[in-house]
Parts: sequence; structure tokens; C-alpha cells
Amino acid sequence: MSESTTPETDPAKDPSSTDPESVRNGSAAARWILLAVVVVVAIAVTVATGVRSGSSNNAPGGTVAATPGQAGIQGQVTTAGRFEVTAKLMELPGAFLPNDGLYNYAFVLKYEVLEVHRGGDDVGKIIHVAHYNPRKTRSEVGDEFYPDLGGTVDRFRAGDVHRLAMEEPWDEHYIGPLVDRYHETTGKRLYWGIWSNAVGEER
Amino acid sequence: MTPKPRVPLAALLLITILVAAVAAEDKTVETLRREVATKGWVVTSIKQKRGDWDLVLMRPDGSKQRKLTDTPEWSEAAPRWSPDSRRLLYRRIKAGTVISHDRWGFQGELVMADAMARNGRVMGKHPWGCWSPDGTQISCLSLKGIEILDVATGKVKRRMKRAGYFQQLFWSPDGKWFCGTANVGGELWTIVRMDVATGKWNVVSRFRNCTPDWFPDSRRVIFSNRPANQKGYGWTQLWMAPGQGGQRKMLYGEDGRHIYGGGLSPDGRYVLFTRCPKDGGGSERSGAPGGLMRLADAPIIGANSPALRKLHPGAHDGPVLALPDLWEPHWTFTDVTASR
Repeated sequence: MSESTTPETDPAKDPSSTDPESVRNGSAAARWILLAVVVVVAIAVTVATGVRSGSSNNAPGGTVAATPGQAGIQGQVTTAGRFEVTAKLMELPGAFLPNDGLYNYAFVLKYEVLEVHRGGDDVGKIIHVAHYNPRKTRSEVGDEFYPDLGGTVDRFRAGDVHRLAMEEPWDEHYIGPLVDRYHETTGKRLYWGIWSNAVGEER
Repeated sequence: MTPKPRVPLAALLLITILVAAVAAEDKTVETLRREVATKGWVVTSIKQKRGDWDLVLMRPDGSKQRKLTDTPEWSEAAPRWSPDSRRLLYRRIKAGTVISHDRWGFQGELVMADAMARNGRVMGKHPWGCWSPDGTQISCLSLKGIEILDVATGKVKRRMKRAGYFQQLFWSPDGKWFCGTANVGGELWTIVRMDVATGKWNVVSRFRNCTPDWFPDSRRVIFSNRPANQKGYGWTQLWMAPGQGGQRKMLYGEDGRHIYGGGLSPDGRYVLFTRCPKDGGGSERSGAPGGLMRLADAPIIGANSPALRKLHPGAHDGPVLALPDLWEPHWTFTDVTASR
């Protein structure tokens, strides 16, 4: 019985049968399946293209591993302060001072803004942010004097992308030593970094 | 035949010279001790074995110590008598809190009491609360700026921009100036003087300074400074400078010790300070050995300190009167123990 492996199959319901009616029904089903596949693929391509184009528009200096928008939403980053941005840390202007628990200070870092989530048109393309005790992980930076600080950034590295919740003017929110190696940059807006989440690093 | 002496003559001579030097130093210190012993009183914070800080009254030579507060649940810190020495301001901080040597003015609450720390009244947070010259007002430093409070009503009479000040704001005895530690032009821990009337300010000393205070003449400022011209981390020294800025002068330095808590006697002739083996002035731990010297003997260099002696070849060796472990001492010539 080598002709058929399914000898029990009713020839009338066999899809491989040469009955003209069943041929017509089979073709219609195949068309519907094909259409569904095409629609799904089209949607997927559209979404992927949209996201990709969004990334490249916001990152003139290069693409980022994670994307703005929903990335980096953790903790109080969406609620703390009046300003919220996703931004790329442009450089480290020299080494951080020792931070052995005896002396505390804030350090000014320069960012390129990739996306503004809150704060609207007030936030420029380049911003300066004062981060408290930058040698500490953001999850451990809050203390008796500044308990509201936090985030997922473990350390500050040039090129990293952060989602930042901030306030301005900085000196209405922080009273302490400020290391500002951009102090000769006139007219800059200096924000107080409250919440700093890691979004990704530059590729 | 005469036997050779067991100890060479040169060694004996050296020992004799050393003993004589120590005796002479003891004598100069003893002279200093007798000179200041009855010159009023010093109030300071002293760490208790149970962990909190209490206010302790003592003679300037460290004698006749007596506790003014005895509160296991609170630390009393940074006392200052009013200009007429009838009242005392200090901070009350919950016991167990590590007191920051440079941010203590933000910790706890301000308390006003009589000169012997009795009948204390908690006034509120009032960071860096400091007496005005007539004792009717108190200056404070906070995020809001510099505020001047009326003692009688507790209301803010005046508010000024803080111009970079971030800690240790003190009002001059003549009422014309503030001094404090500020951010200036990207530099940290700069001592700045501000005109109370106009808000105009000038730099007194740049780079790594803190804990400034006024001389009684309101013309000079005493402060701690850790100069850059040292190997490694370096040691904090006690310095003075004119209020308008200009030539600074080291008062006391010692390699191996960080010098903080600089304060003058009411007549400006003597200097109080602390000698802390670790940076921070001692408030984070158990205080630091206190010291007292004559301003006229400055600069004094303690211990061997060879590198420091090269920088200050004309410095004296002393005398320095050792005081007990303490933190933030304040001196009055008034007999605050007398009934008034």
C-alpha cells in the first residue's frame, strides 16, 4: 500500500482531490491567509520604519541603543521637577573630586538634548545639569540633605544617554559647593538634576 | 687607668639639651595657661560616651568644666553667646545624627537659651542662625537666600540674595558685613565678604577654604584653608586675611593634623582651634583636641612638619595650650556663671 499513507481518508474530503468545487474553496482560503500575512508584514514594516526614523531624527550625532519616548521610565523621572528630557552626556570635563562622605558637592555636566518630555520650548538643544555627588550611583545619592534624588545611572560616562528629571534655577534647589568647569560659558541654563535614569549608550 | 664612660658625653649633652627644651616649652605653655585661665569662659560641644554631644562650659585653659546640657536624646552643637553674653544660640540635633563639620548649620533646629543654656526655646530650623551685633536679629542662610529675623517676633525683616554663599554665614561684630563660604566663578569653597547694606561682595580667600569667622575688629577673617602646595591630599591649616582680601597669613599649621574651629578671644589676642588627625574637624567622630595660642605668636607650626617649615621658615614652635577634645568653641570674657 505504498500509494497512500492515509488509506482511511474519505476521497470526497481529500483536499488533494481533483473535485472542482473543492479546488475553488481551497484557493479562497489560501488567498485570505496570504492577505492576512501581507497585512501583518505591512504593519510590522510601517512600525519599524517609524521608530527607526524617529531615532535618527533625534540623534544627529549617532543612533542610540535604546530609544527615546518610553525608554528610561522608572522611579520618579516622569514626575520629579518641571523638566524632563532624554539627553546625551557630551563629555566629562575633567575628573570628579573625591567623594569620601566628608565633602559633598554638585558637578556640572553638559548634555545634548535628544527629546523633551516635559518643559516644552523652554529647554534648549544644549543644557548643563548639576549632578549631586557624581561619584555615587544615583540609587544611593539621596541623603539627609537631598533625599529626593535618585535614578538608575550607575556612573557618568561621555556618550551615555540619560532620561533626566530636572529643576531650574539650580540654586533654588541646591545650596552647596558647585564644581562648574563651564563657568566661563555665558548665558547657559543650569538645571538641578533630580532623577537620572540610564537609557543607553551611544553606538 | 680611668674607665671609659658607658654613655658618651655627646649623648649626655643631647639629652640635657632636650630636657631643657621640653622644660622651657612647658614653662611657656604654663605661662600661657596662667595668662588665660581667668579670662572668662569658653562654651563648646563635647561628645559624650553615650554618643550624643552636650554643651560644656570651661575656663579658657580647659579647667572647671561643667555640663550646661545633659540630654541623651539630643545633641547640642555649635553654641554662640549673644554679643552681650546674656543669651546663647545653639543647634539641637537628634542624637545619633552624624554632625557634618561643614553643613551643621542645616542640621536640627536653632535654640535660644540664657547664657547657661537654661530655658531653651526652639526657634525652628533657621539654618546658620547667627546673632546681629545688638542681639535683636538673627541672620540665616538657606535656599531662599539670606534672611534676617527679628528675634522678638520671629518674623523675617529682610531677605537678600545669597550671592553664591552656601554655608557658614556669620555676621560681623560691627554689623556691616557677612562672611561665609561661597561658590565663585567655578571655584569651590571660597571665603566671601558681603556688605550687609548693599549686597556687594568681594573674595577674601580663594580655593579650599571653609569655617570662616570674624575677628572682633570686623576687619579680618579667620578661616581654615588646605593649600594646594602640599603633597597628596594635604593638611588643613588655620589662616587669616583682611576682609577686603589681599595678603593672607597662616596662623597655625601642623602636618598630620587638620586645623578647624578657628575663633578669637573677645579681645582678639588669643586663638582657639581644633587639631584633628582626620579631615573634618572632628564633628563626624568624637571631636578633636583643642588648642589655644596667642595671635602674637603666629605663625606657629606644630610637630615636625618639615615641608611646612620650609614654606614658613620664620614660624614659631609654640606655645600652644592643649585643650580637651571638643568642637566649635566660643569664648566670652563675661562671667556667665554669675547671677545677672
